[in-house]
Amino acid sequence: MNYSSVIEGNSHIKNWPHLKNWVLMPLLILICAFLTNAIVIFFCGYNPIRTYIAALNVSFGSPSGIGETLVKSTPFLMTGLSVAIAFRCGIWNIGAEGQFLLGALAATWFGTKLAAYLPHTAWIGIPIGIGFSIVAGGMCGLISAVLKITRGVNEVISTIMLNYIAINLVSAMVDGGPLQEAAKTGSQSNPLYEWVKLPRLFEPHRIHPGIILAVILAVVLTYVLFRTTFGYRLRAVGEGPEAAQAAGISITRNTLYVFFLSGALAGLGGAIELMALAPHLTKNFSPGYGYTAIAVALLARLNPLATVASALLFGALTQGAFGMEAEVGISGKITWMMQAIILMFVVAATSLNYFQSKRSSES
Amino acid sequence: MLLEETLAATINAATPLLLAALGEVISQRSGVINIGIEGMMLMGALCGMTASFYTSGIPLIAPWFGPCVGMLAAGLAGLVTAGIFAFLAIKLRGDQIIIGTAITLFALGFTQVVYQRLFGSTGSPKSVPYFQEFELPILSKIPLIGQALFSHNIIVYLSMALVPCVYFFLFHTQPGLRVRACGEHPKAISTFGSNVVKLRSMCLLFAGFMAGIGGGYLSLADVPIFTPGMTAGRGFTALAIVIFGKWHPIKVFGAALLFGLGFALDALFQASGWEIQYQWFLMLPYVLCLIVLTASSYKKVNFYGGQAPLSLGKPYNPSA
Amino acid sequence: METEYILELQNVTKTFGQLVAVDDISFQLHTGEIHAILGENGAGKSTLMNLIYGLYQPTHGQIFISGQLKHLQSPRDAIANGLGMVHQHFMLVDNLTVAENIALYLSHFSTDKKNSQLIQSEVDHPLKFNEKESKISSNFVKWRFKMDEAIQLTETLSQKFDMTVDPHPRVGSLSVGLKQRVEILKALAVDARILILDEPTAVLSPQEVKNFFQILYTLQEDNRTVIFISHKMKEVLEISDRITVLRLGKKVYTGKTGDLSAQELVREMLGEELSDIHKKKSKVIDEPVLRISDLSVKGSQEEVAVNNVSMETYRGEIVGVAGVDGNGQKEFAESIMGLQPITAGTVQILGKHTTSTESIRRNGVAYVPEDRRTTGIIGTFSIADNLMLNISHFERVARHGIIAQNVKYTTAENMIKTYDIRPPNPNLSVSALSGGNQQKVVIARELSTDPELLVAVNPTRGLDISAAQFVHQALLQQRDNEKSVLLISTELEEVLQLSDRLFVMSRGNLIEATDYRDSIEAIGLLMMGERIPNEL
Repeated sequence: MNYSSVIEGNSHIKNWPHLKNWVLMPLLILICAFLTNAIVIFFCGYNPIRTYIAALNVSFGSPSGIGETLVKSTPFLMTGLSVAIAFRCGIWNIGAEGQFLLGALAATWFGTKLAAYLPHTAWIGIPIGIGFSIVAGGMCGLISAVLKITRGVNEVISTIMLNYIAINLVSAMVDGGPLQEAAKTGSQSNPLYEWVKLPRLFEPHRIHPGIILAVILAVVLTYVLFRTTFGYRLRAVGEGPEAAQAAGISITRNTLYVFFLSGALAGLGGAIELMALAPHLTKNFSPGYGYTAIAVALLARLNPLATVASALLFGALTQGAFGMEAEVGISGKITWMMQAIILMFVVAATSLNYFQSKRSSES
Repeated sequence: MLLEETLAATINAATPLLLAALGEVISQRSGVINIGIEGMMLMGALCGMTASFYTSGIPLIAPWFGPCVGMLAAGLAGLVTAGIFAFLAIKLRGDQIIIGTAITLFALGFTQVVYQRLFGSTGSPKSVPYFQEFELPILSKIPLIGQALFSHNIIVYLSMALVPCVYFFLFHTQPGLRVRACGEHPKAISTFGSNVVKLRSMCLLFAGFMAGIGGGYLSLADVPIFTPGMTAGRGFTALAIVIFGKWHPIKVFGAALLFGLGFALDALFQASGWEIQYQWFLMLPYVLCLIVLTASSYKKVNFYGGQAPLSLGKPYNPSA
Repeated sequence: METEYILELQNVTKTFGQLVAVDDISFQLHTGEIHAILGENGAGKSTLMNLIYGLYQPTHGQIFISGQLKHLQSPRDAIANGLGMVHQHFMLVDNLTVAENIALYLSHFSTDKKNSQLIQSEVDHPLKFNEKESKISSNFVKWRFKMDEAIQLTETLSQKFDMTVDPHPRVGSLSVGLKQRVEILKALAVDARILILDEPTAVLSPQEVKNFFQILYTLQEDNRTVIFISHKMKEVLEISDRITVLRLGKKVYTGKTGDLSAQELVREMLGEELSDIHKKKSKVIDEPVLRISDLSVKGSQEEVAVNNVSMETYRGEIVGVAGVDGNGQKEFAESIMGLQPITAGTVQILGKHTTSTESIRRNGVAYVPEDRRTTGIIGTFSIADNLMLNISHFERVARHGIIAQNVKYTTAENMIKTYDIRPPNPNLSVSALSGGNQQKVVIARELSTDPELLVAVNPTRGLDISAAQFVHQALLQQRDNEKSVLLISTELEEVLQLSDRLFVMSRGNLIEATDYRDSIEAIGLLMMGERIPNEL
């Protein structure tokens, strides 16, 4: 399960940027993925060129398109950071989806119920709402951590199960449950109170401060990982648990930290998405951000800073889907397929890269 | 009556889970953890339904022909999907967890795109010819359990017949012995001259075929329609069943029934008229799975818990 | 058949890039002999055996089996040509039973005339399977697997070669000695004529070695040929008919056992006399650093690994613990470091009871673990990162949890210089280093914390002679600085050379043996877990 070949050559920011690893390889992966995807589109009976042009047009063709791309990148960035941190530290958290949803659920609970009892000001409402989401996401991560530490339950399985529990929990809450809107007609919550919503920075675009927060977090996480003893401990536990333990680093404690941190980031992502964009929490609040996040993080070679770029690409894809659906008539869900193909090429590239380095060291 | 209905619903819900899980047992025994079952089932469900839909229009053929072709197509769809998995995970030695996720993501998108292309995004789902339930003579007349156990479609009986087959294969054949050894110590059998890549690929393809059939069951027997995302986590449940069943076909059968009960309880409570939200029942199997895992895992044994094959999830490099 | 060699190598050379691992070796093997191959680590023994076993193909030269030129492409080819190999790491599937393991192996190599490449040896099949038995054995190439037949076959084989092996238990539950027998039975099941045994006694207790030699004699009686790789002089002299010595990839000597004395063989092996480490008489200071009382620890199989052990180490001494691998040394060391839960008893360091690895480290305990690659270093980390992999280093390198890059790199460069780590590039990934240099990284890191107590487990395993001497000097230096050293090693010579006080660990019991240090025989008995007779 060691993904060291992804991580390799990245222990030092000093080495950054490697042109080959950080620019050429990702570019090659993307070209291959888009070509493959074009072939699939073609065999599905659509015109791939028209499809791509439509996508580009909608995601980058206008200021509002670029704004929307940024907006759509944010959940990918947050969940991508969550996955990058976890994988980097040897934790196979497949549960960003559930953590994202629980974060949004907690923020909804606060934003539609509890916030009424607090002063009606954004300076209080927003931080507390965010705090709720961090705790909820983090706790969701901690469940898997505790199961892993005390009972040896593999986190791949437990986080997947928790995803489905979270999906159904959200559905139970907003579809017939206590958080359903007062009118009881749709399966959605009441809209958040105004003082829990994130403001917009450039009306009429939907760009919000959450985007900036997410980018700042990416920078901070990179610094923490590579320049602090805390980050050093996390990486050591991830890449050499036995050696870390012998060095006096507690595996149990750091596993808890990573799970909480990873869950909290995803949960925060859910809250940002909700507080900035959605008026209410709906049953299908997340179109699989947590799973796509794995592709986002791996394309970025599990580096928080590079995740920004990778998330931007995925945001553009999502925004582009609207164009494809409107112009060409292809299902917008094509983005999932494209993301999956990118992910497969990342895996293939990593393996092939590994082959090459093996071969050259032998001869 | 209630008990009978629950029992029948349990078996009905357990069948696709069992089909997928039996395949997964073989693949995990050979050392490949396939978390792309969900995707393979989805592919199976769509292709099965599509094949049945297009063959049913042909005049002068028996009504059972469509579903049968559909089932075959479903299996093949799963097999092809597993082929991608095998190439990436076994040939290129990529990480199995990541590839599994990618496969599922791919299938979610792909089925949606193709379904919309073929049947349109609007209107009600197309219904297709499907496997009819039939009553086994005599047996179905047994009071109390007769109707519940012996009034199903043919796939249900076939899937149950597969349980001893898989058991026999694993424990009483030479290839089965190799599969078991392959998941534990691939280097050993590779040294002896077995082709680990080929063996694992075969096991994975079988798992894909079975997952495809499991998906086909959903769209050709359970409800004769396809809806995008209709597997609703069943693939992941099958994964849990394999772990719960300790990689043993007979125990996996028991586990499948138990998880089938989880899905069936939904119907039971609704029938009894209790005011409980349906989501809680949908959540139940996953909670059950977590509880079961917690109860049956042991600390510090190996990566996937107590009795998992030692090399499960570890790519094998024949040249190292 | 006496005149013809069963195996002959002519001018075989194997190179890996620049490295010449096997250099122009010619070598003949008589039918029915036990032929020992002696050599230090890195002398080319393993490469040579892998060439014979088909894992590698020679760069130059030819291999003849029974006078016929063979190009062995894989172990499978080799096995089909009558070779069998018992690796140090067994090729056994722990989760299958003994019978299943043998059946698994057999199913890959049919003894059936039609499908087999074993036809030549089929002529005078030494197993002399009767009609029924040979039918069973040919059944294993068919698809059906019958457990009772596998069991019957195992029993037949085990009786024929006088090895008591029960076919029923899972291999994982067997002792190492029994696993080794299963390996040999496997090879015999396909009628191996030449058996290559790679360091077979390294993992055995002296008693098991005796039984093992008995098996070798039985094989010899059956006219089978054995290649016995070892670096244990005494055993080689006892068991072998002829000896070949390798040094740095070259064959330096072949001759009848007994022609050269042990001392002379060592000279051939090393190319020089063993240099004794001249150690100053140590000044032991009467202050216990480590105090262990009534310590018991359970092993991974819930067995008692360490049994009621009490001991102390003082300043200015090296305390040696000798013993055969797997007698509880690992658990003992790990429990001192807080890496294993203690079932009973206490461990005190400088008078303080310890709770966690973290507090043990902070109390000034350094640790050179047995398994360098998983426990000593983190392969994906750079040298500089590995040189701070001990929480005692964190305060030095970091302020308020933020790592000062300049401090990190200057300390790393200092250590690299002091301990001569090559290549001297702190940014290099540590997995790119040789084993010896990796060990230097571990030693440098651990000693630069200026520890009160150093726990070192097999610190020179896998190192070449100069690197090993470097490690020995470091340990002695530590002692001379009035620190305490606990040296746990399976290399008896090393322990005898370095330690001021000597213990022997056997079956989890720790026995003081300082008084017997001049009597190898007495220490050997202690290692076997036996009492010492009065006359010694």
